Amino acid sequence: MKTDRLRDTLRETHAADRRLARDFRAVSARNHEEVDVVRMCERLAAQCDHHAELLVPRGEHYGANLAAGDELPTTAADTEDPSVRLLRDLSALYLCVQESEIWWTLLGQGAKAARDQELIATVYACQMETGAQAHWVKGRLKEAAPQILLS
Amino acid sequence: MKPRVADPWGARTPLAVGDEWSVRHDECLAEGVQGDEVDRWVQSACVLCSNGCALDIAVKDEQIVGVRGRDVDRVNRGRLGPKGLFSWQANNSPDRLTRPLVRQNGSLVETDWDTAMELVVGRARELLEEKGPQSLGFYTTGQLFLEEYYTLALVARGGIGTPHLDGNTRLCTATSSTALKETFGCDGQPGTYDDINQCDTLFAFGHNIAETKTVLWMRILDRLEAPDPPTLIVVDPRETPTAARADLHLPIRNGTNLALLNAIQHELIANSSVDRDFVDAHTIGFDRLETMVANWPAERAAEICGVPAGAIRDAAGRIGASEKLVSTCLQGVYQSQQATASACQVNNIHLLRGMIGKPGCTVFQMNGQPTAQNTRECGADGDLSGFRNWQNAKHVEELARLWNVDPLQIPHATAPTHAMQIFRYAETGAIGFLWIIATNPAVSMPELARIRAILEQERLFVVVSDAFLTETAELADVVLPGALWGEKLGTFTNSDRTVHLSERAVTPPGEARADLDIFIDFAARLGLRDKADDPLVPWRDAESAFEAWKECSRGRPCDYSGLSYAKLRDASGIQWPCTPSAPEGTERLYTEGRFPTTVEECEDFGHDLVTGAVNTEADFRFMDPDGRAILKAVDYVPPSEMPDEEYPLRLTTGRRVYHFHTRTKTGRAPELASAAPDVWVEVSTADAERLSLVEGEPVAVVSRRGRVEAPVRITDAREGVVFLPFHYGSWDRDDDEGKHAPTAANELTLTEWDPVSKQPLFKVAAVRLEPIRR
Repeated sequence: MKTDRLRDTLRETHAADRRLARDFRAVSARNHEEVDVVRMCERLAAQCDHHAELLVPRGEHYGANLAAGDELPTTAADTEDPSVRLLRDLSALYLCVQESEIWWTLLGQGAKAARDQELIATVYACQMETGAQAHWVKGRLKEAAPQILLS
Repeated sequence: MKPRVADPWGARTPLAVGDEWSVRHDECLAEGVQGDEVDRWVQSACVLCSNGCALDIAVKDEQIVGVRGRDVDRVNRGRLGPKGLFSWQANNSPDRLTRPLVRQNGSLVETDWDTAMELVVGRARELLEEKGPQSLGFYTTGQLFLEEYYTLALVARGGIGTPHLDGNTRLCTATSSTALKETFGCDGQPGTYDDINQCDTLFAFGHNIAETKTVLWMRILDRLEAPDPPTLIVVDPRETPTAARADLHLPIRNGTNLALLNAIQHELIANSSVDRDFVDAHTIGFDRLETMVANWPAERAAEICGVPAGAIRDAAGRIGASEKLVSTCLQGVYQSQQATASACQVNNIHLLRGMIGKPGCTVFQMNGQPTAQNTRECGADGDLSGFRNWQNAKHVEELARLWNVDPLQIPHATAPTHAMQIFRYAETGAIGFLWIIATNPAVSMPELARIRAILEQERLFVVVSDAFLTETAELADVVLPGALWGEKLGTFTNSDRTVHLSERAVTPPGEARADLDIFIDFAARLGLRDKADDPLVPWRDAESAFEAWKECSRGRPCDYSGLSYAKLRDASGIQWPCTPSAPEGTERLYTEGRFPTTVEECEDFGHDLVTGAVNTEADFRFMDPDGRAILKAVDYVPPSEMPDEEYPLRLTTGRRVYHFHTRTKTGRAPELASAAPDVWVEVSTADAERLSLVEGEPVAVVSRRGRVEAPVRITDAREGVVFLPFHYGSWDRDDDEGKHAPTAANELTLTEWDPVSKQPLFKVAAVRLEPIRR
């Protein structure tokens, strides 16, 4: 069975969740006065870290050394109005979660084709949590938008 | 000390299953007044907790001179608790506010109503023109009457059109309402107090019934004294008077509720204590729940919760063996880590056992404040009036039709703003006008230094309606003197859906006015009108407001359409839904195992209980509960602030038997004030020994957010847990400098809330104790 592409997909999924963890933390740091955003972003960042960790043994199995993942560039902070920044950050974050979600989808399909029960289970659990992450980001965005867009 | 101060629960009248609770007549009259000297007795109910004990108010020479329990009423059968017996004296307190106050050159000075109201309306109008409706916020209470909440909801949502209206019920029963919505589709207590008379097992989770609901505890004590007492299981980190009577007490670490509840459900499933027929026919979500709790053997929870695995198994065994189970939750669940998720697990236990909607079988997601149920029903909190769903266009249209306004006038782009977010908007300047009604956030909200800083801002216009100059009123720009209970007419509903009428016994002091009149006056002065250009608020008095509410509630689960003032005067309390087809009210909900979980009926589409993400209609349709209850499965997540080297102890806060909230009333009743005049901190024997603290020694309790000074009381609490009562603000401290050591527990608590119910987490702060060297 040729698994190069599955290995690459694992790598991308792993990278996407690591990026997502970084982005959750960046949004948390930039919006440090919105305590609920801070707490949830920190919690979800840890969840993404955990997702990435869960992939490490399967990465090893398919020949990808995920544990030694590259350093990710940090996202730059900007200085615009804090409430507008919250909207922009959450919008961007939503797209990042979607990117991660689509990688999990691809990986899940590959895992099924490879009949890799362990990977199927990991993908199932993580993808559900990624779905909830997207839900939360979008919900928080919708909650904040009416006030911010009209002030 | 008066006998009922020394013994808050009074004499026993044992109550066996199947018997009617016998009458015990409690009465308190002012010193020197004899019963035959009372001019008249006026029908009402108690407003010192959510039990809703029916009482009559004694009037002599146009003054309130006492109260007596109403023997005919099924809620209390003549009994009253110490708070109810003595707190009427607050009405006669010499420091009542009798004239409006406005801030001039930094201090509050008396003025007339016209001047005060024009100031309020003027600022509201300015902001509406400059920044729009979202710059106005209202923070109300669980202390007004139904008619007042409904009027306020109409004025704020239908008139001004702001989403920023919430009650302090956010601090006390938001999780109760949310958990009922998540599991059963709609708010509304499923059971009735009579279920306690009939149960064989009583599971009190984070609910110190003895101190928070004294008359309900009398009922339970009477059951415990009968020949066929129920088994009492109590979960509480503290050795409370409730825990002291338990057959089994689990003193878990605060913040670990969900771990314990998952383990109990693990045991119930492993022991085949599940009513599979009920679960299959009347619930969804069992498979996911089973998978989740499979990971929670008792040993795992034991380690996290700090209680033996055997005790967890014992609790689950007793719950699994019961034939009639009543559970009750309160702030130990609602104000703690994973509040909604945990409250839902208690609902789950009843669904797994098939014990809901049957005599002796129910879960009480209990209320705290006397009229919190009405704040919720009327939509003066984070809900829309009549338990309507903000995501359901038809529900919003119904309201718009009732109010004769455009549906778009009623904000429903997102859930109504919760209190913590309202204060955040006030902090950022997005809200410039905040009207605080009959509540005292300067003592009751978390992280008080922050709350004070918000309220002190120059740019924030703060209006406070209250009967007294509270710590919050001291920070206001305008203070409006309110009439209290007994000085106005209206209805309110207790925590088993019992509606009582409360008559006006006397006139309010000075120029104090009922909040209903203040809201109607505000709407008229602001020129709020409906689509036909008629005044937005078409009613002028309490009874016409009640009639309008009946229409709003018609067809909804909280249906009042069969009630009237005349009927409530005739009878005593009546439980909603009360309709033409159920004219005597309804004892239990969900008796057929059918729940309001259709898209059309439900009050909410639910949430992801980990993140709080809001379900859409599509999510709900996909789940397809269709009249079945929803079993929610959630993993345990530890609190964000755990004890560490710097702050090694877990703080929990709470109410004690002699006081309610910030003592605005109970602190003005001499018997109650002297029974518990000042703050103290409870420390376990082990911690006291380790820190070499002796009984009565003053210590500082310090968190990352502030400090409180209090004398030590050494108790049987579990090691590592300290307790502070949250009643003690500063209004009654006299000190030359106006400065005194801080005593309010909320100096220490943290700004964090449950992701679903948005209820602040008052029970999970990390603190340390520091000796005070004098």
